Amino acid sequence: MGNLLRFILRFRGFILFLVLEGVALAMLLQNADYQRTQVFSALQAVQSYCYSMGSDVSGYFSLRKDNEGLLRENAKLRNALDHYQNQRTATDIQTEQLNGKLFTFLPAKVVNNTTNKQHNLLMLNVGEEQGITSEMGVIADNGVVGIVINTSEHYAIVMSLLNRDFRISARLKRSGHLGTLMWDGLNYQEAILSEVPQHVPVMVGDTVETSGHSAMFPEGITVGTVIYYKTKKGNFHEIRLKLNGDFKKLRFVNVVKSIHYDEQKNLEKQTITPTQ
Amino acid sequence: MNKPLNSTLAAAALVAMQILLFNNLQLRGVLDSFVAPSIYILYLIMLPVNASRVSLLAASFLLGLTVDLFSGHLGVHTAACVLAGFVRPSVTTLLISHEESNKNVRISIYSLGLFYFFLYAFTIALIFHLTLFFLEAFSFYELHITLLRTLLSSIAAVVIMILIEVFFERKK
Repeated sequence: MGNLLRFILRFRGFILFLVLEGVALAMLLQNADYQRTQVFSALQAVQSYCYSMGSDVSGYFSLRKDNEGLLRENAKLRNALDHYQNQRTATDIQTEQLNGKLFTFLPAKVVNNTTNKQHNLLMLNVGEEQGITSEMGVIADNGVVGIVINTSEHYAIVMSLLNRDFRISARLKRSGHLGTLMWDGLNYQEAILSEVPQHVPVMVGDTVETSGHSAMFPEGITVGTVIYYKTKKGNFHEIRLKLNGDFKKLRFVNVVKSIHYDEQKNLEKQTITPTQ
Repeated sequence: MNKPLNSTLAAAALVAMQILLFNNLQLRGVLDSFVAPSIYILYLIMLPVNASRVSLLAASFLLGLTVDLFSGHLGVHTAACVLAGFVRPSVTTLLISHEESNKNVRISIYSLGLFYFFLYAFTIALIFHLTLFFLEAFSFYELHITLLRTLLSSIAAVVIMILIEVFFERKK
């Protein structure tokens, strides 16, 4: 017993180190991925309050720019509306009736945003009270922003496109070929479109848009333009694109609510389970 | 002012600076994901030469935990801080002469001289950032990128720390 005590005393620094490091790593692993946002909800509430105060203040400095952006978006939408109203044909109306309304959009403000980590998250000032749930898409006027991964009553946490875990289906607008849109953690202005077959002709300057195969996002939302591509290990292109939006200036976004999302997911689940 | 209070205030000021300023650093393009200096470890670096390993570990654990709570990824800074606190005595014995190391004085550019302070702070910063970025990336894939992040962030952190020292430390 005495020996044991002497041993502990002699190596108390090292033992304490092991204990504290163990605690830290346990915390790290426990909170890995999405769950990390769920801990310390009380602290999160305080934090989000501070952040929204901070973003209220900093918001004044970019009011002019925001207004310009909103005006531009208004104009674009009005143009699009005009265009569609003039162009609607009998078949269009028929398909609309067939499809019903597929998506609704809810405006939100970004209260916290990071761009310099490997797993970047955003916080929005809308939550369960406004009907936000996990796995809803988030878009801005100039591209895809991310996916909601956690919600509280008044706030939502969004996994940013600038997150190593982020993956959605996207396609080349010109040829319509599908790929996976993701981020390689290097530059907040660039993303990767991978798994595009090698035979597909790619050109620098091509537009990349969402495919609609990820049920969270509507089809045809522009993501960015191709700036560089190379063939990676045999059969696939790895395409580097410049993102349309600047994630550092992100202030107003839209949360996308897919009306048939649950139905689609359920159907998928029912179809897959029996074969496993 | 008495010493413990002074020390707590310094820690609070450094952590606040880290959370409010350096965690929100806005740099251009690629630099943004490569330069993310953690300057608050200056507190750990400054603690007296003769501080025991146990007190160093306790201080670094609390320090890391505080920063973790505000950066939304629990455990990363804590783990990196605890490791840095654990290796600090070994680094000081390597770099600081024996008669100096028994004194109860805070480590600063004035007590060590610029060259040795840089060497010492850079070693600690390197160990800290290496752990931090590996835990953050959580893989050995793209090793060179993590290493480059470590190097650039450590250099940035030490330069900022020296500036803080020059501005806030009064020459005794």
